[in-house]
Amino acid sequence: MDGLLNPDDPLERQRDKLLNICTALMRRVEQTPNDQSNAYAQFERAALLDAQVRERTRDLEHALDLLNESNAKLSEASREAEQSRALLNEAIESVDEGFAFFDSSENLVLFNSRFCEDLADVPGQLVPGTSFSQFVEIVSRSEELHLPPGETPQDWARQRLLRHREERVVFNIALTKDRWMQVSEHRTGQGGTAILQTNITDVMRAQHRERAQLVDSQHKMLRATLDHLAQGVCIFDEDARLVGWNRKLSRMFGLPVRYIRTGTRFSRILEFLRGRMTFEEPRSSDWLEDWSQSTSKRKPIDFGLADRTGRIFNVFAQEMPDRGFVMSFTDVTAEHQAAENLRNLNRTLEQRVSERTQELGEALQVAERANETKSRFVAAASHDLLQPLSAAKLYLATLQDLKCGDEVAGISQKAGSALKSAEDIIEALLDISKLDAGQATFDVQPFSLSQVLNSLTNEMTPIAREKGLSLTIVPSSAMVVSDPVFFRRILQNLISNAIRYTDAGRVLVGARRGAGGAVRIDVHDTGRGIAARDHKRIFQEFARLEDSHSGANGIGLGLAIVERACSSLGHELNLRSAVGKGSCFSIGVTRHVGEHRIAVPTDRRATAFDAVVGKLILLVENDPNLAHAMKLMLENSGAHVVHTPTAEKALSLMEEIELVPDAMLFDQQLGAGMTGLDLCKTIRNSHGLVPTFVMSASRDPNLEQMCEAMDVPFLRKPIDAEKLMHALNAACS
Amino acid sequence: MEHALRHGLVGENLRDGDSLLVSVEVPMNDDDCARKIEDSFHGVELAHLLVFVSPDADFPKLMRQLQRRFSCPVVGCTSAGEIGQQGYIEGHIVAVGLPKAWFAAKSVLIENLDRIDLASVNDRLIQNRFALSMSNQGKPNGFSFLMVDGLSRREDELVNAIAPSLAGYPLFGGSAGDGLRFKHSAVSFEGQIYENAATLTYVATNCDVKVFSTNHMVPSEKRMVVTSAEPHSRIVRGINDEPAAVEYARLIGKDPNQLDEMTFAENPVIVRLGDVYHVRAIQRVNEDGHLVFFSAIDEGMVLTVAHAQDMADHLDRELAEMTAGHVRPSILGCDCVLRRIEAQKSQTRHRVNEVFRKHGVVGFSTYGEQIGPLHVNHTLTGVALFPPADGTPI
Repeated sequence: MDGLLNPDDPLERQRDKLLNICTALMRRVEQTPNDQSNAYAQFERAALLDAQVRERTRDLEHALDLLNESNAKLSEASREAEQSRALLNEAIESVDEGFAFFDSSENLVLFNSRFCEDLADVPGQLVPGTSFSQFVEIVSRSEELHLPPGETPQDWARQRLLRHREERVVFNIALTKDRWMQVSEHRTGQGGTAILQTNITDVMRAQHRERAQLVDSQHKMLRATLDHLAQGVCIFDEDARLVGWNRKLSRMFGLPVRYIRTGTRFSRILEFLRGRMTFEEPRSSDWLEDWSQSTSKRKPIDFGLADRTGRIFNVFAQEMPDRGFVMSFTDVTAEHQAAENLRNLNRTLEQRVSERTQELGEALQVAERANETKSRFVAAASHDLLQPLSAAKLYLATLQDLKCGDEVAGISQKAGSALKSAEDIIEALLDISKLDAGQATFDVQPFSLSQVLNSLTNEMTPIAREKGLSLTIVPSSAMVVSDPVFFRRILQNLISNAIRYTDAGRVLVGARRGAGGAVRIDVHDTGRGIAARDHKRIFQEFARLEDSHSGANGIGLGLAIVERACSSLGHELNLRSAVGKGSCFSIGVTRHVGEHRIAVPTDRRATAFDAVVGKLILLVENDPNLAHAMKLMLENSGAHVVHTPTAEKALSLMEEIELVPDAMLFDQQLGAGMTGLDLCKTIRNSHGLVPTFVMSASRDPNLEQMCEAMDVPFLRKPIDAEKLMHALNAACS
Repeated sequence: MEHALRHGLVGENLRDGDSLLVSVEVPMNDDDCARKIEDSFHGVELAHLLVFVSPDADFPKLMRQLQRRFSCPVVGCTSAGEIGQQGYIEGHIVAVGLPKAWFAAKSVLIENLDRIDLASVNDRLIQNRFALSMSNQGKPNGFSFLMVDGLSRREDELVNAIAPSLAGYPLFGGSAGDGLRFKHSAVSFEGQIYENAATLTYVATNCDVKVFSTNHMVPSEKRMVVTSAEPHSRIVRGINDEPAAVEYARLIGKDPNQLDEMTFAENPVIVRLGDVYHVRAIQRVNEDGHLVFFSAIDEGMVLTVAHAQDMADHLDRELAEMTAGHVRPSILGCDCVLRRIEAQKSQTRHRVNEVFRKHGVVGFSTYGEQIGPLHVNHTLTGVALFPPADGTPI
């Protein structure tokens, strides 16, 4: 109330002022509010209203601001949502497949332009919010949906909805014009359904094409195969109707064309066959009909059929997986005929064999009896004969002691010789009979060949020389296993046989390494030879190829004994011979592989020249005295020495015995033929380097140089025995 | 803008190229001023021309000439002083053009303010407003600019009546003046002069619009009660049961015989309505020792003596706050004549001019200002226009 009243006024005046102020205020307060004529009142109202309006406006503006703010946020949010939606649309548009999404309430949310693209009348009917069942119904009524015959759109929709209930669905839909669509449904985590549609027309068409081609080519192959078969083949389906056959079938049975067509019943064909064919027992046409009509699984069957002309068929029938069956007919007429012929032939042959067997058995018995008789006779006769022979020999010896005249002495010597022959023959006969009767006893043991060969050399050499033949027995220290006595007789018989049947030339005996570790002893001769056809016969008793010029020499028992002894001892006996080419008998003996030296001759003194022992040395020396002396010396050292007087003979000998000596001693001057060095060259050319020594009494210095050039040691005559042995020993070691 | 280059040609001032309102000011004693104004706007297509004319000019002749020269509607009023591009001026004609690039406008004349049933005016106003907004949907913003005869004493009733029909076009305006003579004030519409009348101009624009009103008064503890008054004449006869002038002088500590415009400007009285104070400006002391007001008064109203703050600082602060975040606006302002007097007397006129320049204010000095439904005094009331955020004129 600052200054409202003038303090200078008297109190009464102040009171009056207050009263008037009060009156003015009261009037103002009590003024009619809607007094249009009062400008100030209007101003006052307007001001108050304006204040209120401003306040409200402020509130409103605040609210608006808030609203704007929320609107801004909302629009930002919706912009983002729009953006996401645009991205999503873009994404699903970029999918090559048709795509649609149904939410958990089965309402269509979105789909891309390719969705149901191939069902042209469908997409126009789809809008967001379309339910799944509506969608299925729309599709089911589509003109472009290919419904299987007899299926209505309602059926299709029902099937489709059933599929929809499955958790994960993939299936194909056939569209018109041979178009195909693959549909897959996926459930999302929130119960929505995503549908993907892929156009698989190309794939399906390609598959169908392939399948058609496959079927076609299979069919062609099957047809070609069937036609190629020699059998008649027919195939029936599960209703026993004809579905396949080959040309052979109708030709086989003369089956009329009206039968051979698809759908012909098996029973009809069977009816045709029934009157024309005979079933092989125990089969019958009824049985076959039963089989064809069987409702359970049929077992394969196999039976025979025959027609009136005698043709025979083998029939094989078998069920196929689809309950149809296949039947094949094979014409086996020819085979039947052949088998029948064979059976007949067999019967004849068996008859003949048993007849022959019986005959042979009888003959064998006769032969055995005869052989036995012969052996007993020979043994008895031989024994009985030996007694008077011994007596005759005693008488003859007595006669010779009686100092008769020369004439008588000559006669008695001849008689002695005759007796000796008779005795030999008888002994031979005895041996034969013993061997034949199996009564011979063998003492099989290891022994050195040299024992046998040395003694045979001494025994046979004079006989050969008497006949003007050259006998060479090449020494060998090989150890063999046999009966020494029989083995010696075998060789003796072969050598004496060779001498006997050789008119001129020589006989050569040598041992060599045979097959399988065996030792082979060959007996060569330059005799008349034996024709191939006689190779067996000569081993028979008393077999002689021609009249012998030597009269008493042999009665043909020798080879028989050889054959039997070899057979009994298990020695292989071979003959190589031809008429006019000489002969070579070979005996194979088992080599003993134990101690080599058990049979080293005891009369050999020990020498310092061990390396020479057992070595084969070829000596070519035309001076007999010198040769003999050197041979003695070398043999005393344990070496085996082969001697020839000329180079040519040495070469032919080496060829014959097919042996390369361990060392060679050649005299340089060998008469008119090759010299020692020539021989050395020749042997080197054919056999390689063999330790060789050349000897000569010549004082020609060229000779020594030539020897040196050929790397051949030169020994000057007279030969220093000690020096020679050292050189040989060194060469052999 | 091209027209800005004509500045030198006319010798007077078009606003800078970046302003939305295009204004020119010519001295009123120039015989050729209508032509000069026309020349100044050459090349600018105008939607409307607003003219504020010094009371010393031949208002009817000028307005007739201008309307003849301009194809767009020309409205105007007499002033109690003009506000040009450099601030307060006198003896000038300020023409403010609304370029079509930014604006569309429609003016309505309201005559016979003392007789007319103002409620019936609303129909016409609404139709016109509606027509404007319908044909200018690209210009969603708008305001209503009122020029009213400042001696009609009908402003309170007028704005009270028409404000409700201006939805979307917030109202502001000024009362035409007569210098400090208080004899004749008038408005002009389509080349004609009207007293006891008003023009209302609807402006549609795509600019951002802020209608504002500001005063720089602070209430004191000194209050008084009007004990006797003639409301129709806005005359307060008695205050606190004393002759009004005497009591007012006592309360402000002045000699009752020395009361003049400056006294009123420096010692305004205000009424408090709700939380808001409104200045009730005193126009003069009449021969009976009564106070004649610029706005409605009544017996029983409580007046509070107020003190003015520094007008320039306050205005700068207020405008800066309002235009914060915008480029320099164009402001069309109705400035109470008492403020001009205050600025003059308190030696702050050049500082206020500086603020006007800084914030792009043009307009005129009034006998009262209208804001919404209120007729107020001692304010700067106007519209601030900001270029649209989305770009350049079409």
